[in-house]
Amino acid sequence: MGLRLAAVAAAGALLAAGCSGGGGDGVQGNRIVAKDVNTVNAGQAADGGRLTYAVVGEIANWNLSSADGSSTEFAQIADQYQPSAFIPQPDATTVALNEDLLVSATQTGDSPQTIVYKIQPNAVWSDGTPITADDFIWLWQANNGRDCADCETAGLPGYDQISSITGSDGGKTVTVTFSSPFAEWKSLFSSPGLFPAHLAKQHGDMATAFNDYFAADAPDWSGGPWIISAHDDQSVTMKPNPKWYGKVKPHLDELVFKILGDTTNLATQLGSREVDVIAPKQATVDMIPALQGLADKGVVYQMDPGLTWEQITLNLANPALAQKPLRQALFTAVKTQDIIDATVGQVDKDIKPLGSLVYLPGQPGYADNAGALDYGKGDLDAAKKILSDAGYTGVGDKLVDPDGTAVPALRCRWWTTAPQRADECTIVGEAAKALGVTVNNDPTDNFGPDIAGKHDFDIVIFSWDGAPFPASGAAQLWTTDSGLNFGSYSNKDVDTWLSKAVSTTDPNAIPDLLNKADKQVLSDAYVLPLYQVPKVLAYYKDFVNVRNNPTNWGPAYNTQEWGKAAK
Amino acid sequence: MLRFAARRLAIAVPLLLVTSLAVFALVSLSGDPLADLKLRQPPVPQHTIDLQRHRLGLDEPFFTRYWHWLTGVLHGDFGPSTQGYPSVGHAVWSAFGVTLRLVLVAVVLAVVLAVVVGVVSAARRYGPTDHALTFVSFLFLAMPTFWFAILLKYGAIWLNDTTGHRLLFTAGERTPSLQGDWWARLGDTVGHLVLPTIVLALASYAAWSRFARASMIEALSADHVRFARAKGLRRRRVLVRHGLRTALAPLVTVVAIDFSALLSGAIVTEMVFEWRGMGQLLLRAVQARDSYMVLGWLLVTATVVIVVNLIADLLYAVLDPRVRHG
Repeated sequence: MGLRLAAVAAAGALLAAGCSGGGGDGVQGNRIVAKDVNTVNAGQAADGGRLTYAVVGEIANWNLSSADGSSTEFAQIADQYQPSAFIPQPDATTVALNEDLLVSATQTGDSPQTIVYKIQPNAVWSDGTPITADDFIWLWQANNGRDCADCETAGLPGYDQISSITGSDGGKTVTVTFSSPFAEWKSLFSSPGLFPAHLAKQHGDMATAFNDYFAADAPDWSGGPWIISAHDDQSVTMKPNPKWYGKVKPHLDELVFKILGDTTNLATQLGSREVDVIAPKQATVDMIPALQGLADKGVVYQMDPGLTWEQITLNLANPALAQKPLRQALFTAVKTQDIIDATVGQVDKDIKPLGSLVYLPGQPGYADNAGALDYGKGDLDAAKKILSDAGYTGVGDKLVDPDGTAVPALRCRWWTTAPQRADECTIVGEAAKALGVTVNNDPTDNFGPDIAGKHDFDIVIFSWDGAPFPASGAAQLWTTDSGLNFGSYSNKDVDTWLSKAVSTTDPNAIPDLLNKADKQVLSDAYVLPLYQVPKVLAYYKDFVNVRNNPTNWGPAYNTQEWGKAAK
Repeated sequence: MLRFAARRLAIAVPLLLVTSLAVFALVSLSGDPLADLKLRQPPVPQHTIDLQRHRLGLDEPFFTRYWHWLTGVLHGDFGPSTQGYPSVGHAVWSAFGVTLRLVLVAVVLAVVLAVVVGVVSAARRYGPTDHALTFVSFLFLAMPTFWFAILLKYGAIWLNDTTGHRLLFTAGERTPSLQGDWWARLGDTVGHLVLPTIVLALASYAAWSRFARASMIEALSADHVRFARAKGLRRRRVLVRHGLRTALAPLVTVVAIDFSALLSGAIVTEMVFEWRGMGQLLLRAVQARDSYMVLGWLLVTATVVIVVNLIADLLYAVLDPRVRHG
């Protein structure tokens, strides 16, 4: 199970491998290999029908921008009725303007940074009230940490860097001015999207509206293509919003989100056609054969690299691991491909070792910085040489540091919710043993308090959800004393580069800054990237326009286009 | 009888208080309920964490928090939830309703099966029928519930595919937003209920049938039964009126205990079949260190245990006149 990085929109590009000779997608058994992930399964949808989409999670709180309501699972539901400024596309690179809501969104000034949004004239809420600058202002004020001290927000980045928002042209032009530059401004007002400010004002002060009105129960309003018609603790049913202003009207009569508690039930549910589409957060080893077994029922599936990646993190507060040569030797001795073969490689044989901590393969800016350092290659001789050259003795037996202190046994920790990490820690342990270091497996079911809270680990393996705008995520992971820098890493150059990456208004400058930081972090052997976790989507092939989207929007980014194939 | 019931209830109250305090302490000590919040990326602002800490009463001393919960319960307020649910009481009662629906049918089915099998086994003890029924009982006793449940799911899918109609459902309590008349809704409810009911019923009947058999054998050996036979009464009348009535009393006690346990959450069955009942509620609450939700679960479960056991004792008195008049 992974920890979340910044939630909005694209980040890594996906592999868009195709195996068909012509212009269409390729098929391997019942696996669709997309030639173009943005258009796979495109088709003319007939009107009518119902589609049930499985979502694994809970809805305890209906406010997506609140701390209790913030989750990627719930976002797929809330994004249907809360309009967003930008929508990430399946290639995880393109962050498309939501042209149903906005005519344009343009940066018109650098100093101060100024963004101007022009709202579509016909964009309205389901009660007919126009969507205006007031809705932008409300979302900003609720989340900026200044105007609503009692709003229990999830801490969305960027809103606190906005100094003012003004409306003009009858509220259809929104001018956003920043007090300090925010490079990832396209993540603002997007999943979570807008709330109806006029309704908020009818339900008490801002905190009451935020914490109670928008949180306690399912909304009876909408600014998106769908509006909730029924809900209970196991499902949310939506019908087309009669006031929907977008170019494409929903084809389906009903869109049902079936809320399940467990990923293991997904394939069975699909097989019994109690659901029509499943998009598990992480595919299990037995899921692919199960999906392949449903081929004769008309089920097809896509498996594409996702935005989640697995990594090994070392705790630099441990005196032994504070020594760089030992860290470098460990990362050189570990063979990433062995870890892949023992775990996710059983799901997808195409997975390769990951070479970067900030970008994913295929994404502009990606570079195999880890490979350049020969990390993850399993080269024991090179690893031993690093230790010998640094003055370590007992290499391959019982390692002793240059000061004469025996390197103590280390604990490799992982969250018990992801049992495959037992194998990963074992492989790390074997590599360490070859160097003369003992590594013991020490799982925890208390990951938050142990790892994030007390930093009680020597080696820890977990996964991160990739950032669509990686600068913010990288800053949280590698900046000195930042909240998610669990291993106490600190490097002034990295701090500088990341700070510049987050605040630059020139998006072209970001990859260079992030790669510098990436190379330094990897060179310091703090974290070893392992692999990119595949994202699976399975559905009945009689539905068109359903396709994989590894970003936080998920496959539900274009539900108004879904429908049964027109005959 | 009334005095007996009142005495039982009077004992239950302090027991409930002590248990609730112990559970509250255990859950509170199990970790920081806000720990996962601190893990989030982007990080949750400190002011949100402080607000949640205050809302959950985590900035108050332990006994103050417990006292607030206790006094709140008397007004129907079960306290705040760390998972973000607007009402702990609503969540608990909703889960209880789901579990009750599931367990009630299963228990009735299991009791009927257990009694029939127990009586037949006892009447033909050590014969081929007894051996066969014993084998089946032990088979279901030994079979892991989750494995059997998954097997049934695949069986249901096969049945649906073979008939071309979705007769049985493998998950959930009902089809979302089902359109149709009363019969359609009934069919949908039954279709969802069949599989988890079979799992629960067979798991319970296996143990109860052994108990019923043993109880029945003992009853059939009793003097009054021998006398009834000696009087020339028909075998069926002896079995049912004289034997079974006596044998049922201890079975009622066992069923009451197991019923209470089932009502507190048939967790495996609920998880396999995606029923949002008491078992899942408790599991999620413990994982989230949601002490008020756990206490809400405890209150409901404890009340059920008390009521069900009271009913069992009253039934015992009905079945055994010696208890009534003793």
